[in-house]
Amino acid sequence: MPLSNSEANSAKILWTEPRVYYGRHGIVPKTGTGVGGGTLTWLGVMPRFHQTDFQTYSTDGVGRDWPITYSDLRPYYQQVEREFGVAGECGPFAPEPYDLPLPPHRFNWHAQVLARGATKLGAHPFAPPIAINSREYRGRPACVYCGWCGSGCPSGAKATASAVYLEEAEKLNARVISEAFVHRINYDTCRGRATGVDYLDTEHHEHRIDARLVLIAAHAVETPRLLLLSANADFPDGLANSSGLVGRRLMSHPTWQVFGTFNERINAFKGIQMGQVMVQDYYLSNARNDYARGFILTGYMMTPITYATLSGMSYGAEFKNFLYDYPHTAAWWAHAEGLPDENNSVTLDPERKDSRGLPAARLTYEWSDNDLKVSEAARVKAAEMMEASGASRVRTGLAYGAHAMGTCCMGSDPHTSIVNSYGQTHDVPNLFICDTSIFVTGAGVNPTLTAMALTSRAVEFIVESERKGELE
Amino acid sequence: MVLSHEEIAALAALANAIIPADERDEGAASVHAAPRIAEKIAAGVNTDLYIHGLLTAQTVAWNSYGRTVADLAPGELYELLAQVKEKCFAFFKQFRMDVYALYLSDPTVWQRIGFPGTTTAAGGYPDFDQPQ
Repeated sequence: MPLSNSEANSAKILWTEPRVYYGRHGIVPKTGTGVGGGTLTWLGVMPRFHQTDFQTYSTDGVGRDWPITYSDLRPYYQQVEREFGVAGECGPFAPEPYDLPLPPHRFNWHAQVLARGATKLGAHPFAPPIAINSREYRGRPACVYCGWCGSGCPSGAKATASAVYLEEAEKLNARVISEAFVHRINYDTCRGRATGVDYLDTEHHEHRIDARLVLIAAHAVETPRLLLLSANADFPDGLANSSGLVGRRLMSHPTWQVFGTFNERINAFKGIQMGQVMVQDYYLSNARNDYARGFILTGYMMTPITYATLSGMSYGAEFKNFLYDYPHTAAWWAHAEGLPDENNSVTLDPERKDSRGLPAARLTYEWSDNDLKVSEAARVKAAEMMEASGASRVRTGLAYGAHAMGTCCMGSDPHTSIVNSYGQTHDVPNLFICDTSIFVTGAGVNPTLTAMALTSRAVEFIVESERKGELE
Repeated sequence: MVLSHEEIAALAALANAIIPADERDEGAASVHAAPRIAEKIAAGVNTDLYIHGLLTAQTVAWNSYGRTVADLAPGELYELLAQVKEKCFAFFKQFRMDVYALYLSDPTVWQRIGFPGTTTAAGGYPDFDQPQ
């Protein structure tokens, strides 16, 4: 059935169940749902974290250090890039020079206009790593630049977990159960092990699956929610939560949308929605700044409803004129690092329930002064670049939190973290977490590649541990 | 909850303050935004939020202008929405989103704003990297 509306299709693969947004700067991170999870609706941008991203406290005195380094993840970055078929360049400010399996996409006209301004200001725009085929790769076609990436990619050029991994797993007799809402991880008090999960189907019928190993990959909001929902006599505050830190240190990326309207037609809808061009010149900390850490700028243009969503809160003639400027408008996504804070959290809301009667997640958030300063610097730089590109009018759109991370933080100390560097929970040895919730800090680039690299590393550890009988 | 004719008229006036009529089209009215949102409210979608928001708008209209929302001039509606945004932001945000989602889902609006819609089956945009 042909898509009539990108956003209508997106609604089928976006999390739309109730959540409660709380705190001074309530953030509403986009979350995917369905077989393939967040990769169904993601936009495919896959830069690696930089070396200092794993040591922000040691290098800049902010955030926390990870228990692993860039070098620990390097082979898993390479593995995921190969499996997903990442196209692009590592860029002039990459953590190290590296090659990707597919050649970079040619800049669309939108990216060429953005790059024009960036270059004038001395920056170095490049075609970043992106998991959308620049040529046919492993049975998936090359991108046709139709611009519907966020609606699930109707051409199949975008890599997704379902197309790349789950289809292969099914060939090996894995069973994928769709629309199964896992609401509890079961636990054997005597053995101190997870024993499986309970889930509800679409009719709200209860099912149980017993398992020797339980791996959670429900993202940084639903993973802590599931652990909190799985409280038992041994873990009254939530499974694997002896530290009391499950759900704490929620992180996001403080992000501005900056639009430039030009006399010429841009037709930014022709091309990949996000990441045809990126600037990383301002990524690393600089002693001359009044903030720590840094930001990236990425070209981001979207189908009309999302364009309106990211416009901010204008209305009346101003808003309508903005809508009619659509084909003449270019957009930078100014995306900065947000630092961890103990008070930003995911908890169970005491009142709001979902349709199953389960407590909804409550997200409490307040940006730090550093978060606000670094994101403001990103916004200002994007506006300067837009003017340098020749925009006749620059508009600042929505400020928001992009991505959710960090609610089940990794670390070596069970008193200050939930999982070890392999995603294995300190409290329950056969329970693993494989998503962005285990991030220690969020870096300033898109997080999916790093989450997948961590997962590949965890899987290798699990296989080896199983072979040695260490997970019994 | 089924809205009254007066409430739907208020909703229509507010919707056209979000996307007003001009020489290009009739604004939110061109996609029948108010009756379609009223149908969603009747089906239970964001009903409490809308009832609260409409009550706020009606109260502000009476207190500030001595008239109903539907009787206000376009300039007055614009000012009214500023107060509604201040007093009842959650409603304003949801209402604004519902109005533009309906407006921007209409292929005739796409045509007017210069968006061609889906082209995937036809091969996408081979000229994506050329001056437009």
